[in-house]
Amino acid sequence: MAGGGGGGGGGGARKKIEASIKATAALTGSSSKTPLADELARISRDEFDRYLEMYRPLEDKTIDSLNESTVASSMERAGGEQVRARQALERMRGRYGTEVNPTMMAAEARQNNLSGALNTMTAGNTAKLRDLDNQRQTLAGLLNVGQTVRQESMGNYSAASGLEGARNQANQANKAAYKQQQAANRNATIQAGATLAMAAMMAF
Amino acid sequence: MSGGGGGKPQDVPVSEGEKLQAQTAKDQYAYYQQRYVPLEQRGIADAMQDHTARLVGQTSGGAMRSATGGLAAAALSHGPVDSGGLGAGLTQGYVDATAAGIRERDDRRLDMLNVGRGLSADTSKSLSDAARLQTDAAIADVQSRLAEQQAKNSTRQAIVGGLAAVGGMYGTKQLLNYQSSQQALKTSLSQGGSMAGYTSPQFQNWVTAQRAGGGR
Repeated sequence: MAGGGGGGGGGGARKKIEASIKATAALTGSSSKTPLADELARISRDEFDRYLEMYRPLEDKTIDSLNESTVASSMERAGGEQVRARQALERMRGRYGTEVNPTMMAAEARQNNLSGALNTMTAGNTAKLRDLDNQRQTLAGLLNVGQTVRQESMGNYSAASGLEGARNQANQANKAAYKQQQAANRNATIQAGATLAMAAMMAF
Repeated sequence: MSGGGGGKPQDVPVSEGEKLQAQTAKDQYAYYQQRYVPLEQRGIADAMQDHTARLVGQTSGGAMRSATGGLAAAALSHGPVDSGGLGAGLTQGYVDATAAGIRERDDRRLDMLNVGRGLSADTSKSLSDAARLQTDAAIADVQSRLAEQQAKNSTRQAIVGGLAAVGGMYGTKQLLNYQSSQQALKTSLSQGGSMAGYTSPQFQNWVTAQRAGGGR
């Protein structure tokens, strides 16, 4: 016994606690002998539903991201940056009044085309490697998540199987006890009948 | 509280500790739901976002600013300029920033998924505990009802056995009575023949009369 639980203020708190337990019992069915366990089961299921609602979409999104690729966008970006760099150079030349003759411009254009193509390929290759690196790390994290999902599932199966076994064992023991009891009843009835028959034979 | 000596057993009273523990659990859970579930929602909402584009924009702007000096020098020269070098630098910045953005995003997602895993693992454990308690209670309930039924059957057996014993005793008594009356009759007849019957005055008179009449 807790022994009173803290003087005068404890009365209200105790009433609150008892009301809460009654409310729990009412909520889970007053006939239940385990209202707290019932509530625990209900809350646990609610929490799991919350996990499904809140975390599963994120899990799906993370798994789907393994198929993402930045190769195409990087190669496209390389072309855009090439143009942007060229335009910036032209603006600078215009600002400083630098003249460029047609022969030099043609040479620059050839050079830019070559380096542009090279940049595009380099961007694609680099992006592919970066994607692979990221995907490996994310995959490793997801595999860990998956392992815990599996372990949890096996744990739940194991616990449920244990309950099933305990239930079956109890059922068998109960049935055996019931049969034993029935046999005892039958024996007692037969013995009583025999005794009465003997008595009747003796009496009449 | 055992009720001592045959009274109906009372329910085990709910201890103060049990009440307090149940209430503490409720309070803690309510507090968690009120304060921390919104934080989880916030973390998930953030993890669902992809901030890569913003990071790429910042990186690209910085790279352009840092290249401006070199570009100005190149523009002032009258020789051919390979602007592809600047383009390559900007592209490399984009690729790096994109990869870093994706890594940061996925790490945030994995962190939140680990929080979710903890939630799911806890629910499995508590559900397992609850199911165990409920099943144990159900088994105990069935077993106690069986024991109760067995006790009732034992009582019924005792009644039937008792009735049979009474019947047996009645039969035995009847038999003994019959045997006793038979014995008494036999004794009476035997004694009557030798004593009472042939020595009575009536019989003597009858014998005398017979003799006086010359007999038959």
